[in-house]
Amino acid sequence: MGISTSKLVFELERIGGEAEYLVFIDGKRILDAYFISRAPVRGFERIVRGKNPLFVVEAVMRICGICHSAHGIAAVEALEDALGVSPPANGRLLREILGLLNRVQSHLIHLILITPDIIRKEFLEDILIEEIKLLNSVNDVIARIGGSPTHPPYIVIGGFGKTPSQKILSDQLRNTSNMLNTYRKIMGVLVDEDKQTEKVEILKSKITNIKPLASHLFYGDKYNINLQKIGVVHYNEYRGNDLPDQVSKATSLIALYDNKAVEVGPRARLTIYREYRDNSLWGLQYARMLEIELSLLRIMELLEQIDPSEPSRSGSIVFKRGRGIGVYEAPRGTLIHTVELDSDGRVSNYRIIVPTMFNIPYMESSARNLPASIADTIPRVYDPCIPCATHVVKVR
Amino acid sequence: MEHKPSILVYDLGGCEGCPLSILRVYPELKEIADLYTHHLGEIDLDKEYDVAVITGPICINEPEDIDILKKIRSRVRTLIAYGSCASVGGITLFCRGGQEPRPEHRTFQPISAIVNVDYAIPGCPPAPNLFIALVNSLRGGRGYFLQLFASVARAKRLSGFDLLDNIVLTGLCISCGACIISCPTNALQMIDRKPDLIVEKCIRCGTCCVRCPRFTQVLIQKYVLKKEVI
Repeated sequence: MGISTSKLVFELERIGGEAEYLVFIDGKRILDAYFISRAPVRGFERIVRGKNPLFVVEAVMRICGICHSAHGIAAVEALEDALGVSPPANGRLLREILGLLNRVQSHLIHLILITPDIIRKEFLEDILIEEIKLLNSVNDVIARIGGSPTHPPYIVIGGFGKTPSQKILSDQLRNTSNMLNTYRKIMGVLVDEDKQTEKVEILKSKITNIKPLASHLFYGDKYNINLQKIGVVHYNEYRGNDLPDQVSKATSLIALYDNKAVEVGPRARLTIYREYRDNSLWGLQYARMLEIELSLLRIMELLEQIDPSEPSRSGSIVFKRGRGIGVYEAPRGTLIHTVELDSDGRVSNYRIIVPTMFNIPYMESSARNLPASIADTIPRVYDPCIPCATHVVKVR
Repeated sequence: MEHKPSILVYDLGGCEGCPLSILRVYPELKEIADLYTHHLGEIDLDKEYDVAVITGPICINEPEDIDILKKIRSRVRTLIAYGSCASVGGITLFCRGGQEPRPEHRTFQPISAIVNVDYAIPGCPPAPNLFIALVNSLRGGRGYFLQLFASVARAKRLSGFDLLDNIVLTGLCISCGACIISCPTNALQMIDRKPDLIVEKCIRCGTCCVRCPRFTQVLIQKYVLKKEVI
């Protein structure tokens, strides 16, 4: 890099977790960027070794306080695959509802974090309070259906922990419908160009050529992606030699599909399953906002299909040797859990690949040529999740 | 503390569920305190705050995090550990390290292993209303929650196993069922009017202990009033 190059380090705020964004600029434009997560590695794949599958579900949900249910669902899918268990219809429906509620919850949390970038200061406080109130309504529905607004305990092997009563179902249908109306009002403000900051213009102008990867629009399907093509590498293996010093602190790994970077998450899902076409950085944020609406509509559809008189959990579960894979579309994209159980039914091997690992390459490359003044907004648009991204083993 | 206290919320590498649960009560909290959190932006660790709320465990093998924790402690009057990982270790007590890319991150502890903690609120995550109640008690300078959460800060480790050892097996249990309702993983069940622990589901969060009417008295007597109990 030339003599006029200077280096800026952003301690990223308003994202899920602790990370630095290291940016090299030439005058006013960004030449290159590095996304470095810093949270310590708690090592959940190691924690669950030797443990009973019941513990695994509770433990992996605690990888992340934002996409807890996504981890829980991917884990139970993997364990059910290993044990040869299949949940009854109610169980599958309730799981999908809870997963989508978690998606809405996570997207709303992200919206709260990114609104200061989108909306001008004079309108900010009011809209933030509205968003937090809506988040609280979503939390209430998750608590009623899943047992708790964070790390819901009703995600269990063999289905769902508790079938809600008819009254709870109809109450939550009404609440979801109210949330949809409130959300449409909030979205109206967020897309109002008179209230938007100039950052939105810049985000709209930046077009990236993305390659999307998704397995399902609402749930997750392991047959829609080729798991053999996924490779995980160390950060410096991906970025090559001659890296800045800070990179040695990185606690995340990078996931590639067919040795290439892919984008996962809301835009990838809508591109593949809904013919969404907007490759600008704003297009990614807009896709996430559309997904909230789409998810709420789907939740209402599913709530009506549940039969409170039918069971939600399969009656016979035998813990035994087996291998299983769970693929789920977490709020941020494709999430993969794989498990091996020994002859006592205890975990002998566990691996997790999280969406943020796929998105880091785009978080860096899409910053190039943009003005340095919006540098910290770029990774934020991708909604990185550091608690998840730091808990992964190397697989090849 | 009669004025509106300034409160810093800082996460040390937990799952983010705890700081986000505080954000949920922001509309109420902003009336009684000035909140500074990573999630709203513009936090500055060089500034002084009245209260710091730490979420997430401390990784003993990460010197940078230990320095940050000590620095925060030195700059605030009151330090609160919020959530199970920060206050009693929680799920992160099970960490054993060995995982790429930082296999040296082996041991995670409650933050009281490194610094003095004034109050610790266990929960996975705690009900954020408890936090509002504690802030109100702090402003008033007295209240049950101050005693209870000060005792948890000194106990340093609480789990379903402690509930069994101290309350159920000693015969102090009054079979009220509060522990069973409070458990975030449904690891407790009532059998013959006695709580029973499904050991493989206990994540050592300590929530049951602070909800038990008997255990809370034991904790306060033992750690705050310094009386000899059981």
